[in-house]
Amino acid sequence: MSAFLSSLVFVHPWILTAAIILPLLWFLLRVSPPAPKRQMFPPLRFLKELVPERTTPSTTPWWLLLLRCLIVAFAILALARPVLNPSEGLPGSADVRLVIENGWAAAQSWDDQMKAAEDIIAQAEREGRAVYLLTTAPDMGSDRVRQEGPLPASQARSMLRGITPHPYPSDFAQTAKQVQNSAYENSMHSFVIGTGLQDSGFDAFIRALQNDGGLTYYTPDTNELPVLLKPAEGDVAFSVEFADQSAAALPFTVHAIGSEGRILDYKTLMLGPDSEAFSFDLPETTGADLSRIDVTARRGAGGTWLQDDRSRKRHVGIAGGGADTDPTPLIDAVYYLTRALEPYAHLHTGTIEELIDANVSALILPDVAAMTPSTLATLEDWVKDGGLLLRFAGPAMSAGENFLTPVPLLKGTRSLAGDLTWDEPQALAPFPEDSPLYGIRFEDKIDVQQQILAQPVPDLDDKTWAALEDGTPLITASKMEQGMLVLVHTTATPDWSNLALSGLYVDVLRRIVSLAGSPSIKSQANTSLQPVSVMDGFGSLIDPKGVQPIAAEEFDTLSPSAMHPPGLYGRPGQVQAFNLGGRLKPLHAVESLPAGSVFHIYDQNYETDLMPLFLSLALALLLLDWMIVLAMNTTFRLPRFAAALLILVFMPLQAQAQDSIDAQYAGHIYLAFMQTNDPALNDLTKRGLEGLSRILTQRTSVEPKGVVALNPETDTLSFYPFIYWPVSDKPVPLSDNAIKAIQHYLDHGGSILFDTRDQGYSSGGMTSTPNARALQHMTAALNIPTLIKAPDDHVLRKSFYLLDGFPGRYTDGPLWVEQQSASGRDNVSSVLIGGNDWASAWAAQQNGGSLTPYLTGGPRQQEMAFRFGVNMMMYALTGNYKADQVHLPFILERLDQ
Amino acid sequence: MHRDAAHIRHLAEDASNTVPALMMAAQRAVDSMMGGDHRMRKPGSGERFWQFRDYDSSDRPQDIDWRQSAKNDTVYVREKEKQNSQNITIWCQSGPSMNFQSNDAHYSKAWAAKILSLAAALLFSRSHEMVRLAGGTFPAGRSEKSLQHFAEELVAQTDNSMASFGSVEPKKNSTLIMIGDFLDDVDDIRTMLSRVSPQLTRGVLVQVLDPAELTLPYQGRYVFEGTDGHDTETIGNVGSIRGEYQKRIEAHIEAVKDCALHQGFDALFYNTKDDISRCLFEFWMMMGGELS
Repeated sequence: MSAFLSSLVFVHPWILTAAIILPLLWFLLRVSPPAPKRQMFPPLRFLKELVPERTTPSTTPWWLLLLRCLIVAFAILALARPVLNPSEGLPGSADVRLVIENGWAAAQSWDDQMKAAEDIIAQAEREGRAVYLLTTAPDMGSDRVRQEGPLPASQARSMLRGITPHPYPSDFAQTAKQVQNSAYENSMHSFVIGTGLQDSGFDAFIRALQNDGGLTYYTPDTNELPVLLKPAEGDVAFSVEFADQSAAALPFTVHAIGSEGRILDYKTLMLGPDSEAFSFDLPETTGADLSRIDVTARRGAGGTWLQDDRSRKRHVGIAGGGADTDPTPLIDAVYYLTRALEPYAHLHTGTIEELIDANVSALILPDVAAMTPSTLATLEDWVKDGGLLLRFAGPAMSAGENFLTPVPLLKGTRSLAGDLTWDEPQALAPFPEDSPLYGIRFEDKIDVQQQILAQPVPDLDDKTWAALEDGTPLITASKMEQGMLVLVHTTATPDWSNLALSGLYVDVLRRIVSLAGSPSIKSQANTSLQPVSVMDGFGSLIDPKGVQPIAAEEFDTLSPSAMHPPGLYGRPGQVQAFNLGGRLKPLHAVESLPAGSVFHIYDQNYETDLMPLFLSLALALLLLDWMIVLAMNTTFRLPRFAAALLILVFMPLQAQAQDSIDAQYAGHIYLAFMQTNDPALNDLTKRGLEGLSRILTQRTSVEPKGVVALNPETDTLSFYPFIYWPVSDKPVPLSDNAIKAIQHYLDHGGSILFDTRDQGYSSGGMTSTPNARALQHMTAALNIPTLIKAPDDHVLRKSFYLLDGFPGRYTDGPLWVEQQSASGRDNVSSVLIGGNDWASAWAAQQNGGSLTPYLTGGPRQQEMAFRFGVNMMMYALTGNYKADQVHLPFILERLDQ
Repeated sequence: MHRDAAHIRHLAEDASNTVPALMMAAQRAVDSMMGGDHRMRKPGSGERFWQFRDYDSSDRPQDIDWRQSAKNDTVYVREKEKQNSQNITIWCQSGPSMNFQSNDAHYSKAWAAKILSLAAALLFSRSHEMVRLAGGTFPAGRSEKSLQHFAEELVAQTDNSMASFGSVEPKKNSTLIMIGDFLDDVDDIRTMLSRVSPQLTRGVLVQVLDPAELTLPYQGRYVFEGTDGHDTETIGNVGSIRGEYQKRIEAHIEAVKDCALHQGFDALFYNTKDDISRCLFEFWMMMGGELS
């Protein structure tokens, strides 16, 4: 209590002197009860006969007095503006420079940073000092850090809200330059709302600020310092990098998230600077779907790892060797291939037929030449269907006829180093620029002693991915309809070359296997990788605006920056992930600051303005006083206990009322929608559903009783067959209970139509509109099945009206439905997602000839929107009933026969 | 309230100004009552023709009706009805209690009582009755002049309470009209009436009350003062006792009426909210049968 009191300060303490009127007030109120009106009345005698029956309080009761004094006391307290946990005054008296670190690390402590910054602005406001704002990371696509000022506090506050963390590191060098260049007359004290990480240029930056009037550096606690998720070995295992090497291990939850935002797996790990790398051991089918990994407690680009197609594990079959026998170490080709590819692919061994049946995407044939015609046919069909066949040469191939090779081969082998030749072994030449292998570095000299030569056909060069220094091809490839044939003109073992012993072997194999299933065999060496979507500071994918393409040869070495934020680059279908992890310098915590600067750790004790609290208390008491006075005047005869009795009577009534309300909702159809935190939107949605309700009543046998606004936190959802959920761009996060309730609703037959109201909803991973992101964020914890665009023959298009699209306020947005709905649901999709803003169209009203809100298609479009609404309701209520009816003509035809 | 007091005081100070006002009000009440065709259809006042009879030597010559006598040989004397005019005393209560006037009322009780008194005097004097004001100094009369005196004295009376009634001595076989609020104890009223009733051939009691005194139309917390200004009563919530009060005042009015009837008085009730000429008409009808 005393600690509480000591942390309580009044901004206008002199107002408290008004408290001396309290005793005066007490006195006044007590001696003069509210003056009655005087009235001369001749028949007073008759009144006198009546009066003795009752007593009249001549003075106000003491508790009412106390109440009124309390009201005044609270009002005085509120006017004095009490502040809890006031910060000590800001150092200095000049203006204040607020430096907001907004690099990738800031996202992880963003809330703390914002609170601290607002706190400083509030103090500056009280002391009447202007605020300069400076950020340390340039905005995406720009090359200059932001600097604003001098600003009044209110403007600074709104400006501050516009600052967001970025997914790339802070540019301290540039910020320092900005500080030195800005010619303000007075030096001013700087507050660095920091992340606790130092980077190149940090010292200079700190010195620049220190020299310009002093510095206070805010940093998160040691345990809260930013962490970086990075690949540990070969992109399949991960570790978390800590800035402070002495940090204690902390529990982290890591999510593996699929391409549609579904959580595939999660791990809760104790992670510290010394902990081991972890990996996700996903089932093969879901593993292919992995698109990102998130450290949930540390949201942001630093805690996110994007997974691209390349690093996705593929199923690779190695023919030869029985499935049940281990390959002979150091001799068998299968042994080398397995060792090389094991970390990067799911390997299968067996016969060619077995492997094709196992649905592998790449098949490796080490020195297999002769096959039965049926095997050959099967293999050829498989390649034509899109398989990648990787063959290694060997003694067997040099002997017989060869089929399924990218280039026609010469019989026999060319031996470059042996007892009977005088040739030197040939080394591998650098990869040509148009080869998909371009970019792989190799330091070791690769010597090839023996190879199979290709016939010198005209397009041999085009098909050559790698050649020896004398120009003879080492790796050739060609397309075969959908698939691809790749031949390595030497063995998979060290028999003919030292390729199998070098690191290059692993890289080449990975690169080739990663091409499986991709449409192009050409490298994009001379092209650049276009940004497909990039991360924002919090790790969500957004539209790449102002982002530069990355040249292919730079891709592996480039560090993320404002021009090249982390994200997905390439082109749709063949994207490469550009992540923070593995591309940054090792993290270092800020250990010391120059003398004179202040180190400050974010804490929870921020200033709290208690004025609203006190004012509302006073208001509440005032209401109470009013009710008491009312009760004294009108129901004076009512014994006091009667009021208590009333309460006792009404309480069970209320409980009963709840039951009856439940019965009411369960007994009729109600159109329901989820409330958002936007009252205007709620109102619009309500009107929309009421409009739809009218149309339903007029045209169909569905006669909704009313429209219900639901709050997922408190309301029972199970009464409503269908819930319309408009998504606002700033949704309230759902509590665990609400998520459970919604999941339960979806799992037990309910349907929710999410409406992003922006038309721009595209697809799972590539969303970019704020509403779509809000929806993603909101439903991240929901288990939503795979969605597809509603196909042309979907029941929704014919459940009542025959519809071509799903028009609302917008007409072109797609509607996403479940690919396959769970059994027992009558094929009704539990989740539908669209962006056509149906409620607006339903709510549109004739307003002097035009519709408000405006619909391009006018009343006709509203009619179509209503038709969709009717179809939607029919679909939710009757399921696949209409889908069956589509077959009615055929059934009737059969009955005829 | 204060307006009423001021008003009455004003009346007292400047009687010459209010006598015409009172006269006019009374005249208007009488006129509006007489406005219709209310003829009695029977021989009445002493001015009227009664019969012709043969001349007698005791008759004065000027009583001979020459026109009638000229028609034949007999000399006729025009004989008028023998008139026995009544002595009528009007007692009008005044005082603080009578000065009460609520918002709904047309007049204060005192003013209404005075209008009624003067109107009655007017009516009686037209019927050639002798009217005098109880407590007044002028003798009974029926001339315009005595009416003027009547009005002047009526206006000048400002404190003519129930207690002062003790000094009223009505003449034998006279008629007494009492106009007041009669809020005193019924027993006192009975004593008072029984004292004078043996003298009277006829008595009428007109009780004048304000609508507020009947309904107690106040809300909330009130302090009620008596007429003397010292006696007060605080009522926390007037609404809670209204029903009970109304019952009491009804009972009192009934008791006064019973008491009056018992003492051989006719009783009439006037609510100052109502039309005063209507009350006057009722009063006149009540008197009319006797005045023929």
